[in-house]
Amino acid sequence: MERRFTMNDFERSLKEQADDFKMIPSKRVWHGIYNDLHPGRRWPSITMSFLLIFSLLFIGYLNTHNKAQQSGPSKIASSGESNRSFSGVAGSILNNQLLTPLISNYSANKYYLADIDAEFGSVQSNSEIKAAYDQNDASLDLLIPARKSLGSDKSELSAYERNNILLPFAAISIHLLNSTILSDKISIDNLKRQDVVANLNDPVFQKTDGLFEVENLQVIQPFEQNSFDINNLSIQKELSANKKIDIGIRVNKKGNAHKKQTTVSQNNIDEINLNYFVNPHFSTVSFKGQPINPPSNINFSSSITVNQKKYNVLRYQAIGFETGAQLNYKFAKRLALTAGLQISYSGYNIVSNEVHPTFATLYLNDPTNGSEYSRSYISHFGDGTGEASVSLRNYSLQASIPVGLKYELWGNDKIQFNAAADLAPSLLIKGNAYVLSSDGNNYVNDPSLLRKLNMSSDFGLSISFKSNKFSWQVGPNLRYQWLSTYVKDYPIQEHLIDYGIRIAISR
Amino acid sequence: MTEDQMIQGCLDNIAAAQEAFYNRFSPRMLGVCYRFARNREDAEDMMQEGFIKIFSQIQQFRWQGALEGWVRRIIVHTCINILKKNKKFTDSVDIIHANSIYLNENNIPSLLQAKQVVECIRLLPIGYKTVLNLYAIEGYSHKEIAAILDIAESTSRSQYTRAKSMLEEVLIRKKIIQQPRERISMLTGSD
Repeated sequence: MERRFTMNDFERSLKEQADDFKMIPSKRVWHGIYNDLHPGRRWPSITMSFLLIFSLLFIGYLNTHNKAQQSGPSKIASSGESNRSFSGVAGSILNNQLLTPLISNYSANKYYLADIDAEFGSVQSNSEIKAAYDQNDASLDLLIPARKSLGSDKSELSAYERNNILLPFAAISIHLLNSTILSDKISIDNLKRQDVVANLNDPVFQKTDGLFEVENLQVIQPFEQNSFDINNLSIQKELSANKKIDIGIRVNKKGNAHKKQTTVSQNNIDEINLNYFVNPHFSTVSFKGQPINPPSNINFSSSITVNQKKYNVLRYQAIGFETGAQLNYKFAKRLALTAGLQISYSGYNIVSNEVHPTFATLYLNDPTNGSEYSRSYISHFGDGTGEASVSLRNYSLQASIPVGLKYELWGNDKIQFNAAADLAPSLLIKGNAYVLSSDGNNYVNDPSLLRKLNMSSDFGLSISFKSNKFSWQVGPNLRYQWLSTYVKDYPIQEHLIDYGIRIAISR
Repeated sequence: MTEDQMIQGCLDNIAAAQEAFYNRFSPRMLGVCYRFARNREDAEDMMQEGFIKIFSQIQQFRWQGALEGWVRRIIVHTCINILKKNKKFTDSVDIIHANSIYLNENNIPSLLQAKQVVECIRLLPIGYKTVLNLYAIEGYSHKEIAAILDIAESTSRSQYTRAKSMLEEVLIRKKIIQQPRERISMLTGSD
């Protein structure tokens, strides 16, 4: 390579000054080089990401699959052995052990499937009912079968029967409050004709080749007609003498299941569900602290001192979002523990203006020894007071693991009002930081100032309601970032504040 | 880490050595890229590509001469290649049109800092500043510049002359350099 060895003064000084010119590259450059040189090193992070995603999917699958499995066997055969069960001729009617836990998952109440001897009009308790009685549970829900025969040949049935009376079971409740039981066999003779029958035209009863799939017990409708006579039903139960209970039977009407949840056994309260949520929000920010003034021993131009401004970031809020999955574990009557994984994108826009590239200095603190040091930048952006206005975006993309509590303020079977709060350690995935230079004149871009680990909290109120298949939660949500967005070196503390509407869905 | 250890580490593809290498040269090399680039982001992209090239070709380093010179040559060539690839250079070589380009040197702060010379260079049209960078700062001959930029040698010379003149004016106006005496005397008409 041919090189010149003779230069005039202009060229030499130009070369000297240009050679002295240095800039600190952003970390993005090294990350780009590193990832290019060591593609294999990305696998751990990719593997972890996939593991996390699959774990979430697996949890979600387990949560929903259990329900699916539980609903599967509740298909009641209309022929063969099961058919005999419905004939009411003799003996037990259904596979209690199979149906009991399955059906219980379909509503907040736990249903005990009672054996019935329809011919003799008695409901026989099984071991679970006995156990529940002995535990003095305040309420029991029994499922009793219809008396009508479910013949394989449906032509024998009338139109009404085909549509209405093919009832696999009816849901009834037995209250065990403050009454005396006088014998082991109790006749229920005050039962009103409020029996229930399922309308097979109801879409929740899916009729497939003689199988009736019970989708949701809550949709069992009260039926005023005399569909079957259970006046003579009796509950046979072994009870200790003089135990006070009150036995009444009432139809478990639509929507009552959740209301009675407060009176069911402890096992029913323990409930885990998974929901997915998204929270579009507006992001704003609060600042604390003062910038460090240029040290007096630095030979700096007087113009900087003259131009020293009040630290004022002209800004406007921006749209962000938060999304993720959350597990709720209901460990008390109204309290649930929540934990999950969420991704949040927050940021705000800075009002700036384009300037000719100029040098800007940021004075920082060294947190290890408290001394001050400076970083120099080339800035293209002014403090926003000049012409050629431009918008700069400060943002952070964070992954966090919120752990918190949810409290049910008020509710019934269909609607609940909840309050929730959590604490979420978070990890910065990606971010951008434009900060004002120490003289307040220019914005400099330095993402390395962003804190990697942070802590934030969500506070929210929500109303939850159920549709046919899903449960929805909607309500206002506020997120506050407890620690500063920036590392301790930067003297200004910035706290992100997001407020929006949180929409969650669960099965 | 000594320079030899650093190079050996880079040859062995050891990340720590590569990072040390990068940390040592990147501030100056970004300054080089910045003189060629339109903005900081472009400069960082140029440097990133340049360093990837350096690490993948480091076995070609002959252990003769300064390592920084070798690094710098690769970085400069990378910058030129990117400019040519993006057609930013060839579209801007027209000297006649370049004369009419308005230099908004009033935007240069009045602070007399040496590094602001670089900012003055960046004010020049891309064709001018590329030739100026290559000739006056990087030390390439006009013949080499002509080959690198696919232009005539005479074009390189004339561009450099005009670039130098334009830069000189800006620097003088900003009082970063003093007006040469012969020009002063010529302007004032005195001996």
